[in-house]
Amino acid sequence: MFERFPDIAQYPTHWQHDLILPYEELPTHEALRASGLETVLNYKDRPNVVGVIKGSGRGRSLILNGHIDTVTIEPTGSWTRDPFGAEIVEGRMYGRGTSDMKGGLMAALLAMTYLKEAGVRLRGDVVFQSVVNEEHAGNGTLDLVRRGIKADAAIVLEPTENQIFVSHPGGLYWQVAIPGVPRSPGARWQAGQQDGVSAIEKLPAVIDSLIALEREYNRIPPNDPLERDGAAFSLVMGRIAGGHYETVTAAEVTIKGGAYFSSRVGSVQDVMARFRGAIGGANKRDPFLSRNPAKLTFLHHDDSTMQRPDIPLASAMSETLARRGVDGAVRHGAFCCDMRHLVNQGGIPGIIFGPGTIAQAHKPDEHIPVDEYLAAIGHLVEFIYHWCNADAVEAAAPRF
Amino acid sequence: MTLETETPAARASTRDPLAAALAHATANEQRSNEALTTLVRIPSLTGEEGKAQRASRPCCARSGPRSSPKSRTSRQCSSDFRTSRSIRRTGSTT
Repeated sequence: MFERFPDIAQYPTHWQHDLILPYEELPTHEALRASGLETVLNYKDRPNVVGVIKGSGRGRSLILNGHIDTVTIEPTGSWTRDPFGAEIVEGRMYGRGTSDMKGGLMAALLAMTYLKEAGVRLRGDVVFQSVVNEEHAGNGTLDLVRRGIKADAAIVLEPTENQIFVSHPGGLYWQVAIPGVPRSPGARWQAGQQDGVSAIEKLPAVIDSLIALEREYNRIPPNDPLERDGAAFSLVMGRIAGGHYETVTAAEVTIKGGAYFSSRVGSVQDVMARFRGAIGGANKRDPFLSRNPAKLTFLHHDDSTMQRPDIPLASAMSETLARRGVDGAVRHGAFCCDMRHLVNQGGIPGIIFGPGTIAQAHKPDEHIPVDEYLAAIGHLVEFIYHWCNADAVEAAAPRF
Repeated sequence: MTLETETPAARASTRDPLAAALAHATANEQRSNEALTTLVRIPSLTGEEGKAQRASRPCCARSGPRSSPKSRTSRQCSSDFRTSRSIRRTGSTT
């Protein structure tokens, strides 16, 4: 996989695995096992679970993809509800992963379950994918793509408030380490020459260069009507650390941040090259940094996904939602997710669609509206029925 | 969560399969909530979630899907969570 996708499968998860549960304990597993559908395709000892409802033939196939990993519950002191309590209060279920994205994952599994229990025969295959590692690199989904599991379309069940997202930005985590020369006030100047240099003094050169890059990117006009309200590039400087003592020039300062970017600014490799250029320019312009360059490191990088809003999958979901009396507009998503691997590496048209909101993701007191979760099950039941019973244009049966 | 082989919904599906499946989903809303409840109560399914989840008791996870979700109340889980938080605050280890 790493040979085939060298720029995507990048940083393996570093968490210890001492709490991994056997896959038999997955709540999803019993339903899958009882139906005879389940297959476990482990990714580095973590369970990627795949279940297939086999169609009778000649219908369109569909992948339902969701991640089973969540982010941390830290800061734990900020939660007012039990992060693992699943308490339902005023129509909202609280807990880590309710929106991101156990709600969507379970909605998909239950939609398949209810179709099967109701005795509905589908012509196309339905492939359920419960994947690991989405919150880190997306290697769970990428591993299934690498194995050649294909379908005519894929729904990634990330939280969209049951709206249809057909594209999403790319993202970077980056850090810049700026050097200095530590000296006390008495030693900062030696024989009229500056000897001590605080890394803090060099911050403006680096920051100005990055802000200039953002400004330059955002002069690029939208080339997609779905993106007309969105920025081409959004830079976040989230953390800064450095220095040892008040009266010693800082030996190093590290800035860490992130960036989201539209596909209209180029690929993730293009953006990384421009980042390197921005920091290289700052180094070149400053005499001290030209001899002691600030060092840029990418901690994580994801490509964007861009598809036409009228792909058959999006249109079909739009029609389903319209029939069910809800908003079926197709939109541009504002967050990165595993759809990039299914679309960019797998060549499978995809949409993001699921209950809950990305605004709840990764935060204390994460919750999901229960009625939205239940509605998603109904939406998916109806969508799967129509999609998988339509004629396949080109058969793309799952392969293992 | 088990799959039934012959349900009223299955019998009705011969007339209007989609309507039968949707009715079946609506009739099983309680079950749908319980299924998500069970899933949310598992702190870590992949080991990728970090230190805080490792410190939390996988109280409901160990019982797995074989136990009835009704048998575990949110009060029980909240109690476990409070206990694990107090353990961390006092610096004790388990």
